[in-house]
Amino acid sequence: MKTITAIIVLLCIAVATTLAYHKIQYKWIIYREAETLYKKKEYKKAIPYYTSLLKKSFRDHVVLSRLGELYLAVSDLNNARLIYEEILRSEPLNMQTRITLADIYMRLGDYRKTINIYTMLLLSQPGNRHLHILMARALTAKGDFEDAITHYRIALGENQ
Amino acid sequence: MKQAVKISLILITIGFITFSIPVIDRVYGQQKGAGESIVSKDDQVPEWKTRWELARVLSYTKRYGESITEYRKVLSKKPQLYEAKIEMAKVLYWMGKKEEALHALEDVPIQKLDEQAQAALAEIYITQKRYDKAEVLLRGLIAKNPKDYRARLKLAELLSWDKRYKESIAEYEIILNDLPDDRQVRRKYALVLMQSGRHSDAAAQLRKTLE
Repeated sequence: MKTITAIIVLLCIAVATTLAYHKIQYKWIIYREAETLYKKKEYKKAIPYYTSLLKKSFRDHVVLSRLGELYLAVSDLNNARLIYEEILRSEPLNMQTRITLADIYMRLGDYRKTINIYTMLLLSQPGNRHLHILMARALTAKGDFEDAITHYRIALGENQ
Repeated sequence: MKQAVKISLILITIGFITFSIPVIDRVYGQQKGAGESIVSKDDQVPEWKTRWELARVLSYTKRYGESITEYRKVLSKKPQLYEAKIEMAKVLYWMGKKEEALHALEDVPIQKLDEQAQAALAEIYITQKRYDKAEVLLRGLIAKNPKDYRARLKLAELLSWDKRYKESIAEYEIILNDLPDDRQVRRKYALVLMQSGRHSDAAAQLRKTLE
């Protein structure tokens, strides 16, 4: 009796393992398809695949990054904003994500949010020349020319 | 019994291997995906480009002198940057330094000049009474945009100053055909009619402007 029970238990474990594999494998098939489309630069076609992976909580971070890039590539700025805001929630210290998000806000015409992000980043990196240029561009777009000039001068090492 | 355990162990091993393949692939895939991006990470803005942006912003705030200084620095590094040269010429023109603006614009091939720069250059040529050069530019602007009435009016005026009244009148009539209510243009038209000896036509046009 004990022998039969042991065999049944072991068989159950084997079946459960195989089923789990097939479930994951299905997501992997979608992922592979999405990556293939991404590499072929068929961005619009790739988006639904990554979106479905995201709904299945598959490789959240990588899928989110890809999706953000794809939305930017097809100029879907509103969705790109949502994705990068989500990435930033999970990685609040990621500078590149902040800069990308600031750029999206800028392209959406939300200069106040753009400037807020650069102001925060400049607090921690006051000597970052590139950040001063980005800040100057945002201020120019907003019409704050005098402040923009100040940041351009700092970027050029001519701070008065 | 031993055989049953062996079979079960083999099944578990198969299950474990198949399960672990995607896990290994996942780690590998993450490493592979990290290096690829369609978003440019090339953030390096060269100094000349930063200075060029600064020159533009200075001109927006009407700090023309400083703007010109920055444009000159940019052009010393990038002498073939026609776009910057055209912008600098416009700033010089706004400053009233028409000779310098002309000098800057004449360095740029005509086909590289945008419409605003061509109009400015034509204006400068007119002030210098170099009507032949101005006419070429104005006709080019009109050919590109037949509804560019400012350019057409300039051409009509230029032709009248050059005593080519018939051609001038033809240009005025094109403008007035589209803008019949523009009294200022009609008065100028009447003046040219008068200069060409068509006094009664001129009087009729002047009367229209007083109605």
